[in-house]
Amino acid sequence: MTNPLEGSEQARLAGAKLYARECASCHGPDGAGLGKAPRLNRHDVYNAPPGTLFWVLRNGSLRRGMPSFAHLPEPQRWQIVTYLRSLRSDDQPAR
Amino acid sequence: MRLGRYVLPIAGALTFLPFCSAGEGPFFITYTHQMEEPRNLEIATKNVTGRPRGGNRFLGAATEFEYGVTGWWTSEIYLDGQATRGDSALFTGYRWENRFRLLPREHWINPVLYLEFENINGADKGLLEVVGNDGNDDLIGPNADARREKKRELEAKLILGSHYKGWTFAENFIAEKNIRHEPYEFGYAVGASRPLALSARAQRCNFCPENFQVGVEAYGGLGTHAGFGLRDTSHYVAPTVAWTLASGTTFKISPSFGVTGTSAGLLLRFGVSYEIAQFGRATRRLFHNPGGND
Repeated sequence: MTNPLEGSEQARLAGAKLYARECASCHGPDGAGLGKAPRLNRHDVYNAPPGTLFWVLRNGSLRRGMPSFAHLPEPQRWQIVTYLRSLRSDDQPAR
Repeated sequence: MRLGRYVLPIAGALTFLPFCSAGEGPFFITYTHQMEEPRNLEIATKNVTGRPRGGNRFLGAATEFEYGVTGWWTSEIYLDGQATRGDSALFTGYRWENRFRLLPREHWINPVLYLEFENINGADKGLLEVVGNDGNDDLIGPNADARREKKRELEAKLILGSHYKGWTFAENFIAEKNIRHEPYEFGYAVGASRPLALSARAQRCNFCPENFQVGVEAYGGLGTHAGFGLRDTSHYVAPTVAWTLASGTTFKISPSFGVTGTSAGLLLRFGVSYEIAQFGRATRRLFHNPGGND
Protein backbone atom coordinates (compact mmCIF):
# COMPACT_ATOMS: atom_id res chain seq x y z
CA MET A 1 0.00 0.00 0.00
CA THR A 2 1.54 3.30 -1.04
CA ASN A 3 0.89 6.67 0.52
CA PRO A 4 -1.02 8.76 -2.04
CA LEU A 5 0.34 11.90 -0.34
CA GLU A 6 3.99 10.82 -0.19
CA GLY A 7 6.35 13.76 -0.63
CA SER A 8 3.67 16.44 -0.33
CA GLU A 9 4.80 19.28 1.90
CA GLN A 10 1.20 20.44 2.38
CA ALA A 11 0.26 16.93 3.56
CA ARG A 12 3.21 16.88 5.99
CA LEU A 13 2.17 20.23 7.47
CA ALA A 14 -1.44 19.12 7.76
CA GLY A 15 -0.22 15.87 9.31
CA ALA A 16 1.80 17.85 11.86
CA LYS A 17 -1.34 19.74 12.82
CA LEU A 18 -3.35 16.53 13.16
CA TYR A 19 -0.51 14.87 15.07
CA ALA A 20 -0.51 17.74 17.58
CA ARG A 21 -4.25 17.32 18.08
CA GLU A 22 -4.61 13.55 18.06
CA CYS A 23 -1.26 12.00 18.99
CA ALA A 24 1.00 14.43 20.86
CA SER A 25 -0.71 14.03 24.22
CA CYS A 26 0.57 10.42 24.40
CA HIS A 27 3.59 10.34 22.10
CA GLY A 28 4.95 13.79 22.92
CA PRO A 29 4.98 16.96 20.83
CA ASP A 30 8.06 15.86 18.91
CA GLY A 31 7.41 12.09 18.89
CA ALA A 32 9.85 11.41 21.71
CA GLY A 33 7.29 9.34 23.65
CA LEU A 34 5.65 9.90 27.00
CA GLY A 35 5.09 7.33 29.75
CA LYS A 36 4.14 3.99 28.20
CA ALA A 37 3.54 5.45 24.75
CA PRO A 38 6.54 4.60 22.58
CA ARG A 39 8.83 6.99 20.74
CA LEU A 40 7.85 7.62 17.16
CA ASN A 41 11.00 9.45 16.08
CA ARG A 42 12.93 6.24 15.73
CA HIS A 43 14.47 4.17 12.98
CA ASP A 44 11.80 1.48 12.61
CA VAL A 45 8.96 4.01 12.39
CA TYR A 46 10.92 6.17 9.97
CA ASN A 47 11.54 3.14 7.75
CA ALA A 48 8.16 1.43 8.23
CA PRO A 49 6.08 0.87 5.09
CA PRO A 50 3.39 3.57 4.90
CA GLY A 51 0.70 0.88 4.75
CA THR A 52 1.84 -0.49 8.12
CA LEU A 53 1.55 2.91 9.80
CA PHE A 54 -1.83 3.43 8.16
CA TRP A 55 -3.01 0.03 9.44
CA VAL A 56 -1.95 0.86 13.01
CA LEU A 57 -3.79 4.19 12.86
CA ARG A 58 -6.94 2.49 11.59
CA ASN A 59 -6.98 -0.42 14.03
CA GLY A 60 -5.05 0.85 17.01
CA SER A 61 -3.60 -1.61 19.49
CA LEU A 62 -6.17 -1.79 22.25
CA ARG A 63 -4.20 -4.17 24.45
CA ARG A 64 -1.34 -1.70 24.54
CA GLY A 65 -3.62 1.28 25.10
CA MET A 66 -3.53 2.70 21.58
CA PRO A 67 -7.06 3.52 20.39
CA SER A 68 -8.31 3.24 16.83
CA PHE A 69 -8.27 6.44 14.79
CA ALA A 70 -10.67 5.09 12.18
CA HIS A 71 -12.97 8.03 12.91
CA LEU A 72 -10.51 10.24 11.05
CA PRO A 73 -11.20 10.22 7.31
CA GLU A 74 -8.66 8.28 5.23
CA PRO A 75 -6.97 11.38 3.78
CA GLN A 76 -6.30 12.70 7.29
CA ARG A 77 -4.77 9.38 8.34
CA TRP A 78 -2.48 9.52 5.30
CA GLN A 79 -1.53 13.09 6.28
CA ILE A 80 -0.50 11.81 9.71
CA VAL A 81 1.50 8.98 8.10
CA THR A 82 3.26 11.55 5.91
CA TYR A 83 4.20 13.53 8.99
CA LEU A 84 5.32 10.44 10.95
CA ARG A 85 7.68 9.48 8.13
CA SER A 86 9.28 12.91 8.38
CA LEU A 87 10.11 12.53 12.08
CA ARG A 88 13.73 11.70 12.63
CA SER A 89 15.85 11.85 15.74
CA ASP A 90 19.44 13.01 15.66
CA ASP A 91 20.82 9.50 16.14
CA GLN A 92 19.54 8.00 12.93
CA PRO A 93 20.74 8.44 9.37
CA ALA A 94 18.58 9.96 6.65
CA ARG A 95 16.90 7.55 4.26
CA MET B 1 -8.06 19.86 55.66
CA ARG B 2 -7.08 16.81 53.63
CA LEU B 3 -9.45 17.62 50.77
CA GLY B 4 -8.17 21.18 50.46
CA ARG B 5 -4.62 19.89 50.32
CA TYR B 6 -5.38 18.15 47.03
CA VAL B 7 -8.08 20.27 45.38
CA LEU B 8 -5.93 23.34 44.77
CA PRO B 9 -2.97 21.44 43.26
CA ILE B 10 -5.35 19.54 40.97
CA ALA B 11 -7.05 22.71 39.81
CA GLY B 12 -3.66 24.27 39.17
CA ALA B 13 -2.39 21.24 37.28
CA LEU B 14 -5.47 21.14 35.08
CA THR B 15 -4.76 24.65 33.91
CA PHE B 16 -1.58 23.43 32.27
CA LEU B 17 -2.84 20.16 30.80
CA PRO B 18 -2.93 19.94 27.02
CA PHE B 19 -6.31 20.01 25.37
CA CYS B 20 -7.27 17.98 22.35
CA SER B 21 -10.39 17.80 20.28
CA ALA B 22 -13.48 16.12 21.62
CA GLY B 23 -14.22 13.69 18.87
CA GLU B 24 -17.57 12.06 19.36
CA GLY B 25 -19.09 13.59 16.25
CA PRO B 26 -22.14 15.81 15.95
CA PHE B 27 -24.68 13.50 17.58
CA PHE B 28 -26.52 14.15 20.85
CA ILE B 29 -28.44 10.89 21.21
CA THR B 30 -26.76 8.35 18.96
CA TYR B 31 -23.54 6.73 20.15
CA THR B 32 -20.85 5.70 17.70
CA HIS B 33 -18.25 3.02 18.38
CA GLN B 34 -15.60 5.65 18.99
CA MET B 35 -14.22 5.35 22.51
CA GLU B 36 -12.60 7.97 24.68
CA GLU B 37 -8.83 7.83 24.43
CA PRO B 38 -7.19 6.18 27.45
CA ARG B 39 -6.67 8.52 30.43
CA ASN B 40 -8.35 11.45 28.64
CA LEU B 41 -11.24 13.23 30.31
CA GLU B 42 -13.96 14.88 28.26
CA ILE B 43 -16.25 17.38 29.92
CA ALA B 44 -19.40 18.21 28.02
CA THR B 45 -22.79 19.75 28.44
CA LYS B 46 -25.86 18.46 26.64
CA ASN B 47 -28.79 20.82 26.89
CA VAL B 48 -32.26 20.68 25.46
CA THR B 49 -35.00 23.26 25.42
CA GLY B 50 -38.56 23.06 24.18
CA ARG B 51 -42.13 23.95 24.89
CA PRO B 52 -44.34 20.88 25.12
CA ARG B 53 -48.01 21.14 24.19
CA GLY B 54 -49.95 22.07 27.31
CA GLY B 55 -46.81 22.86 29.29
CA ASN B 56 -44.24 25.56 29.89
CA ARG B 57 -40.88 26.03 28.20
CA PHE B 58 -38.13 24.05 29.90
CA LEU B 59 -34.36 23.70 29.82
CA GLY B 60 -32.93 20.28 30.54
CA ALA B 61 -29.20 20.20 31.22
CA ALA B 62 -26.83 17.28 31.57
CA THR B 63 -23.16 17.69 32.43
CA GLU B 64 -21.03 14.79 31.28
CA PHE B 65 -17.65 13.59 32.52
CA GLU B 66 -16.30 10.93 30.17
CA TYR B 67 -13.08 9.11 30.97
CA GLY B 68 -11.12 6.63 28.89
CA VAL B 69 -10.27 3.85 31.35
CA THR B 70 -8.62 1.71 28.67
CA GLY B 71 -8.71 1.59 24.90
CA TRP B 72 -11.78 -0.70 25.09
CA TRP B 73 -13.57 0.71 28.15
CA THR B 74 -15.03 4.20 28.53
CA SER B 75 -16.85 5.30 31.68
CA GLU B 76 -19.09 8.36 32.09
CA ILE B 77 -20.94 10.18 34.82
CA TYR B 78 -23.83 12.51 34.02
CA LEU B 79 -25.32 15.06 36.41
CA ASP B 80 -28.82 16.11 35.35
CA GLY B 81 -30.97 19.11 36.15
CA GLN B 82 -33.76 21.14 34.65
CA ALA B 83 -35.57 24.46 34.89
CA THR B 84 -39.16 25.05 33.87
CA ARG B 85 -40.59 28.52 33.26
CA GLY B 86 -43.21 29.44 35.86
CA ASP B 87 -42.28 26.42 37.97
CA SER B 88 -38.85 25.67 39.46
CA ALA B 89 -35.29 24.58 38.80
CA LEU B 90 -33.93 21.41 40.33
CA PHE B 91 -31.25 18.74 40.27
CA THR B 92 -32.85 15.58 38.93
CA GLY B 93 -30.23 12.91 39.46
CA TYR B 94 -27.20 11.15 38.00
CA ARG B 95 -26.31 8.46 35.53
CA TRP B 96 -23.29 6.19 35.39
CA GLU B 97 -22.62 4.54 32.10
CA ASN B 98 -19.95 2.27 30.72
CA ARG B 99 -19.14 1.33 27.15
CA PHE B 100 -17.15 -1.75 26.19
CA ARG B 101 -15.72 -2.22 22.75
CA LEU B 102 -16.21 -5.88 21.86
CA LEU B 103 -13.77 -6.35 18.95
CA PRO B 104 -10.14 -5.26 19.19
CA ARG B 105 -9.79 -4.20 15.56
CA GLU B 106 -11.73 -2.07 13.15
CA HIS B 107 -14.25 -3.95 10.99
CA TRP B 108 -16.94 -2.91 8.52
CA ILE B 109 -19.33 -2.92 11.49
CA ASN B 110 -18.14 -2.54 15.07
CA PRO B 111 -20.18 -3.52 18.13
CA VAL B 112 -19.98 -1.78 21.50
CA LEU B 113 -21.90 -2.86 24.60
CA TYR B 114 -23.33 -0.05 26.71
CA LEU B 115 -24.50 -0.52 30.31
CA GLU B 116 -25.99 2.27 32.41
CA PHE B 117 -27.44 2.78 35.86
CA GLU B 118 -29.49 5.90 36.32
CA ASN B 119 -30.89 7.32 39.52
CA ILE B 120 -33.11 10.19 38.46
CA ASN B 121 -36.57 11.41 39.30
CA GLY B 122 -39.64 11.93 37.16
CA ALA B 123 -38.89 15.62 36.68
CA ASP B 124 -35.80 14.85 34.58
CA LYS B 125 -36.03 16.53 31.17
CA GLY B 126 -32.58 15.77 29.79
CA LEU B 127 -34.13 13.49 27.16
CA LEU B 128 -30.85 11.66 26.62
CA GLU B 129 -32.80 8.75 25.20
CA VAL B 130 -36.38 8.09 24.20
CA VAL B 131 -37.76 4.65 25.08
CA GLY B 132 -41.06 2.87 25.54
CA ASN B 133 -43.97 5.28 25.25
CA ASP B 134 -42.05 8.40 26.37
CA GLY B 135 -43.66 11.51 24.96
CA ASN B 136 -45.04 15.01 25.34
CA ASP B 137 -47.14 14.16 28.42
CA ASP B 138 -43.99 13.31 30.42
CA LEU B 139 -42.88 16.95 30.12
CA ILE B 140 -45.94 18.88 31.32
CA GLY B 141 -46.50 17.87 34.94
CA PRO B 142 -45.56 20.25 37.81
CA ASN B 143 -42.03 19.64 39.07
CA ALA B 144 -43.23 19.20 42.66
CA ASP B 145 -45.31 16.19 41.59
CA ALA B 146 -42.93 14.77 39.00
CA ARG B 147 -39.91 14.76 41.32
CA ARG B 148 -41.69 12.33 43.68
CA GLU B 149 -41.37 9.59 41.09
CA LYS B 150 -38.08 7.75 41.58
CA LYS B 151 -36.50 6.23 38.49
CA ARG B 152 -33.76 3.78 39.30
CA GLU B 153 -33.21 2.16 35.98
CA LEU B 154 -30.82 -0.17 34.22
CA GLU B 155 -30.27 0.41 30.57
CA ALA B 156 -28.42 -1.60 27.96
CA LYS B 157 -27.58 -0.61 24.43
CA LEU B 158 -26.05 -2.42 21.54
CA ILE B 159 -24.09 0.18 19.60
CA LEU B 160 -23.08 -0.60 16.05
CA GLY B 161 -20.79 1.75 14.17
CA SER B 162 -19.13 1.95 10.76
CA HIS B 163 -16.93 4.34 8.82
CA TYR B 164 -17.15 4.41 5.04
CA LYS B 165 -15.51 6.95 2.73
CA GLY B 166 -15.55 9.68 5.36
CA TRP B 167 -19.09 8.93 6.54
CA THR B 168 -19.88 7.67 10.02
CA PHE B 169 -22.93 5.45 10.46
CA ALA B 170 -24.25 4.37 13.84
CA GLU B 171 -27.19 2.30 15.04
CA ASN B 172 -28.23 1.91 18.69
CA PHE B 173 -30.73 -0.60 20.07
CA ILE B 174 -31.92 0.26 23.59
CA ALA B 175 -33.53 -1.78 26.38
CA GLU B 176 -34.36 -0.14 29.72
CA LYS B 177 -35.84 -1.50 32.94
CA ASN B 178 -36.90 0.23 36.12
CA ILE B 179 -35.41 -2.02 38.80
CA ARG B 180 -38.48 -1.75 41.06
CA HIS B 181 -41.37 -2.16 38.71
CA GLU B 182 -42.51 -1.20 35.21
CA PRO B 183 -42.00 -3.31 32.10
CA TYR B 184 -38.97 -3.47 29.85
CA GLU B 185 -38.93 -0.49 27.50
CA PHE B 186 -37.27 -0.36 24.12
CA GLY B 187 -35.98 2.33 21.83
CA TYR B 188 -33.60 3.07 18.99
CA ALA B 189 -31.31 5.76 17.65
CA VAL B 190 -29.60 5.89 14.26
CA GLY B 191 -27.34 8.52 12.73
CA ALA B 192 -25.09 9.40 9.82
CA SER B 193 -22.49 12.18 9.71
CA ARG B 194 -19.59 13.47 7.67
CA PRO B 195 -17.01 16.26 7.98
CA LEU B 196 -17.32 19.00 5.36
CA ALA B 197 -13.82 18.17 4.12
CA LEU B 198 -11.95 14.88 4.34
CA SER B 199 -8.44 16.35 4.17
CA ALA B 200 -7.08 18.75 6.76
CA ARG B 201 -5.71 22.14 5.83
CA ALA B 202 -2.06 22.75 6.63
CA GLN B 203 -2.67 25.84 8.73
CA ARG B 204 -4.20 26.00 12.19
CA CYS B 205 -7.67 27.47 11.74
CA ASN B 206 -11.09 27.79 13.30
CA PHE B 207 -13.11 27.89 10.11
CA CYS B 208 -11.46 25.15 8.04
CA PRO B 209 -14.15 22.91 6.50
CA GLU B 210 -12.75 19.82 8.23
CA ASN B 211 -13.64 21.46 11.56
CA PHE B 212 -17.34 21.16 10.76
CA GLN B 213 -19.27 17.90 10.92
CA VAL B 214 -22.82 17.66 9.71
CA GLY B 215 -25.23 14.82 10.10
CA VAL B 216 -28.71 13.67 10.89
CA GLU B 217 -30.01 11.39 13.58
CA ALA B 218 -33.36 9.77 14.21
CA TYR B 219 -34.50 8.30 17.50
CA GLY B 220 -37.62 7.14 19.24
CA GLY B 221 -39.42 4.60 21.40
CA LEU B 222 -40.44 1.09 20.46
CA GLY B 223 -42.96 0.39 23.23
CA THR B 224 -42.60 -2.17 25.98
CA HIS B 225 -42.32 -5.95 26.11
CA ALA B 226 -46.08 -6.05 26.69
CA GLY B 227 -46.80 -3.71 23.79
CA PHE B 228 -43.85 -3.72 21.42
CA GLY B 229 -44.18 -1.56 18.33
CA LEU B 230 -44.75 1.98 17.14
CA ARG B 231 -48.20 2.58 18.64
CA ASP B 232 -48.30 5.65 20.97
CA THR B 233 -44.57 6.17 20.67
CA SER B 234 -42.65 9.34 19.92
CA HIS B 235 -40.05 9.72 17.19
CA TYR B 236 -37.72 12.55 16.24
CA VAL B 237 -35.61 13.49 13.24
CA ALA B 238 -32.72 15.82 14.00
CA PRO B 239 -30.22 17.45 11.64
CA THR B 240 -27.09 18.27 13.60
CA VAL B 241 -23.85 20.19 13.20
CA ALA B 242 -20.64 20.26 15.24
CA TRP B 243 -17.90 22.87 15.03
CA THR B 244 -14.49 22.22 16.56
CA LEU B 245 -12.22 25.19 17.21
CA ALA B 246 -8.47 24.99 16.72
CA SER B 247 -8.17 24.97 20.51
CA GLY B 248 -10.17 21.72 20.63
CA THR B 249 -13.43 23.03 22.05
CA THR B 250 -16.45 21.66 20.20
CA PHE B 251 -19.85 23.30 19.89
CA LYS B 252 -22.91 21.34 18.76
CA ILE B 253 -26.44 22.30 17.90
CA SER B 254 -29.38 20.28 16.67
CA PRO B 255 -33.09 21.01 16.23
CA SER B 256 -35.18 17.86 16.81
CA PHE B 257 -38.50 17.60 15.02
CA GLY B 258 -41.14 15.36 16.55
CA VAL B 259 -42.85 13.36 13.81
CA THR B 260 -45.71 11.68 15.69
CA GLY B 261 -48.59 13.02 17.74
CA THR B 262 -47.02 11.63 20.91
CA SER B 263 -43.75 13.53 20.32
CA ALA B 264 -42.93 16.85 21.95
CA GLY B 265 -42.90 18.94 18.79
CA LEU B 266 -39.72 20.97 18.35
CA LEU B 267 -36.76 20.52 20.68
CA LEU B 268 -33.51 22.44 20.37
CA ARG B 269 -30.39 20.70 21.59
CA PHE B 270 -27.08 22.45 22.09
CA GLY B 271 -23.87 21.68 23.88
CA VAL B 272 -20.17 22.30 24.25
CA SER B 273 -17.38 19.87 25.01
CA TYR B 274 -13.68 19.85 25.52
CA GLU B 275 -11.23 17.13 26.26
CA ILE B 276 -8.39 17.20 28.76
CA ALA B 277 -5.60 15.05 27.41
CA GLN B 278 -3.89 12.61 29.78
CA PHE B 279 -5.93 13.72 32.77
CA GLY B 280 -5.42 10.35 34.45
CA ARG B 281 -1.65 10.44 34.11
CA ALA B 282 -1.39 13.98 35.45
CA THR B 283 -3.64 13.21 38.40
CA ARG B 284 -1.72 10.05 39.25
CA ARG B 285 1.58 11.91 39.10
CA LEU B 286 0.19 14.57 41.39
CA PHE B 287 -0.80 12.08 44.09
CA HIS B 288 2.17 9.75 43.77
CA ASN B 289 4.72 12.52 43.62
CA PRO B 290 3.26 15.65 45.23
CA GLY B 291 6.65 17.35 45.10
CA GLY B 292 6.52 17.29 41.33
CA ASN B 293 9.91 15.60 40.93
CA ASP B 294 9.73 12.82 38.31
